[in-house]
Amino acid sequence: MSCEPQLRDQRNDSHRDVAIHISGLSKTYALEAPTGTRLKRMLSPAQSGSAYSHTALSDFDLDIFRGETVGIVGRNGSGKSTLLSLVCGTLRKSAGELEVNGHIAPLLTLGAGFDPEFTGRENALMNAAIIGLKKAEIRESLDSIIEFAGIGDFFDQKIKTYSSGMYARLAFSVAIHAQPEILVIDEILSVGDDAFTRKCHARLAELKESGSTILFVSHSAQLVIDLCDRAVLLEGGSRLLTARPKEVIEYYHKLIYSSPENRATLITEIQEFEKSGSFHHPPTEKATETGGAPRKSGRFDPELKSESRSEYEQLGAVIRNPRVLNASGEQVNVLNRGGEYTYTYEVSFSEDAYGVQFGMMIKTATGVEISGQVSHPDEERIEKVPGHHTLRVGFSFRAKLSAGTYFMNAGVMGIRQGEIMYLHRVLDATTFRVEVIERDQLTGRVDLSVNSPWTQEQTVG
Amino acid sequence: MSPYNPLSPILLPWRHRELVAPLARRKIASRYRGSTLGLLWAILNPLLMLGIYTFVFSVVFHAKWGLESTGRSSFALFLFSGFILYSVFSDAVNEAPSLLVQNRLYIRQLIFPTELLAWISLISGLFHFCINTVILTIFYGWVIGPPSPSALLLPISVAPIILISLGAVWIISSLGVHLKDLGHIVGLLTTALLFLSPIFYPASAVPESLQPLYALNPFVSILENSRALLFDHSIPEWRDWLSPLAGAWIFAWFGYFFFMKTKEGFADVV
Repeated sequence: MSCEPQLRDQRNDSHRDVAIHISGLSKTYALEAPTGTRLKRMLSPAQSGSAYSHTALSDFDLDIFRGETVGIVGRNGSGKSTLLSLVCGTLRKSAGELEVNGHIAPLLTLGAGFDPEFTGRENALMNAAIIGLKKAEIRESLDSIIEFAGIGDFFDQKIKTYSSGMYARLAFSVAIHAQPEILVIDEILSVGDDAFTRKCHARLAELKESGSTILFVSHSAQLVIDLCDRAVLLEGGSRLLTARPKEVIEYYHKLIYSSPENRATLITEIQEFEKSGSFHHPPTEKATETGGAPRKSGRFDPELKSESRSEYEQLGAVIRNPRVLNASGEQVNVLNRGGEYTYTYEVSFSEDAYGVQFGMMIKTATGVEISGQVSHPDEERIEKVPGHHTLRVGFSFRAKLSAGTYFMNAGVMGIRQGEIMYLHRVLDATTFRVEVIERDQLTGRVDLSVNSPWTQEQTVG
Repeated sequence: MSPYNPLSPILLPWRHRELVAPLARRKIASRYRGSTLGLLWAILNPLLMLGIYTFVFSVVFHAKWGLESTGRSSFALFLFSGFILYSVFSDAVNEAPSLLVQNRLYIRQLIFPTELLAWISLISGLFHFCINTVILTIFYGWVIGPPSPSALLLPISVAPIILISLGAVWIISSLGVHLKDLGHIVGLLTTALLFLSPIFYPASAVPESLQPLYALNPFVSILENSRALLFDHSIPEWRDWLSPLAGAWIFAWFGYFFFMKTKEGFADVV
């Protein structure tokens, strides 16, 4: 008898720590239906589930604790934005429970309510009032907003004269000064240049440090891994997985590059992983999938293709068939960490080329250049390649990279009219993925062979 | 604010006072921002309308204002006073069908009290009403002489118009989200009501047999009361003033209630 009230107290305590409680949350959109039907439905919300509906989110459960940062990832149309809108209360839920404890600042779009005919200052003040800052707070933080935005004299110019980057800087700067208990951010952090993005990330980390609860959607794997305590993978409106960011991102990447046929299998696999609750033991590669080949050599995943390929104008040369080969000369695109691989492509010259040099670059999915190489030093370029010749270039490398997807550029340079220029260049020519390994200790992007950490007891004094 | 509280429609702007001022300021400014003449349009517009209506009704139609022997300029004053009061209503209501769609960002992307938009719309209308009242006063002084102290009671007769407009904007804006045709219907209705209210003619010009029907139009008593204050120097009986006010209040409350009950569904359709 005596322990009963104690139990209840505990439950109350844990309940107070939940910033956002979501249980069985669903959202069904009414699609374009005859006007009368829509009107009727508006007056009697109970009547739903008609033929004119689309379920954007179904039966979603998640408890987000105070001070926690949770990232939501998922393919387009998986229900991420719907979820955020529901949490912010801008959309009405169709079913389920949703409880938000604390003041929410939504950052679903940048510069909501910005009017191009007004100056940056006028819009900043207006926007600040709309997102819930009090007059005094606005006065206090105005200098800081100006400084953070870093757009100088443009602050007092009409917004219609802004570049999109400046627009984003101003909007983000205002939004980030709201000092919210709960910050809800849709995919908007990718705007602005690198310096500003870093500043935003730093500010988010600062907010996180000060105890804000952050819920955000991002396609940036690195950001999710860096910032989040947990991540959620959404697919088709359902929660597939809630786990550590790294694991979620890994599955997310698999999901984006899966073909429609294989997707169902993959989803079942993820669901099983979710059920097993074995967050600390990432899944191992199934033997059947590697096709019995030795583990070090990697494998080829036909669904993993570069979809962002783009190329420069051809000036008498064309790059063909860029690919990655393993030590036995087989084409692979799923690489094992530390394995030896060769990046190779052919270049066909249609006319004589002078001062020729080949190049490559490995980049992260976010475009950060990790490592590149040219085939010859500037002083030792190939003097002349006669027309109608084809050369094959190979760059061997060791895949000392963390798990994730990488893209590769290919380029051929030559000297024309006394200037060094690209005779042909292909960006994101090919892509590869580095597999997750068990009991991984590597963080960051590149494996510099840091020795396994050791600990030893230290006596003080 | 609770839709069950009859005071909610009135207390709303106070509750969101941090937001009302900047929003209203922007709303008024954005109408003139970018135009060469700017805020001057707020004065030019009513003046031009006043001129056109006076020309059409008193010069072309030879309309007379009842028994009084009035000149053209005082006819214009009668007309203008009714017109500016009615404009508070018609400006807000004509905008109502697209009010929410225009502000869809507020609905979809922000946590924003959309019920406040009706008030912002009205405050902008009241701002123009104030400018018009200044114009009216100047002309009055020029044509008739110094206005009587009873004119100071004008705000009291404006109160029912504010409430009716609020109620109408809440209902129409909510329906406008679903019914795109509403914009056309509302435009027709406000024009019809313009001619069915004693604006271009006194209420007494309506045939005796139609008077009971005519009196159903709430603008009849409101406009007649206001003109009595301005031109007859007579203060209406409290009953004549109270009944439109009570009716208007109930209407505003109903409109607010309707809006609040339907607002959750806006984000799905705008």
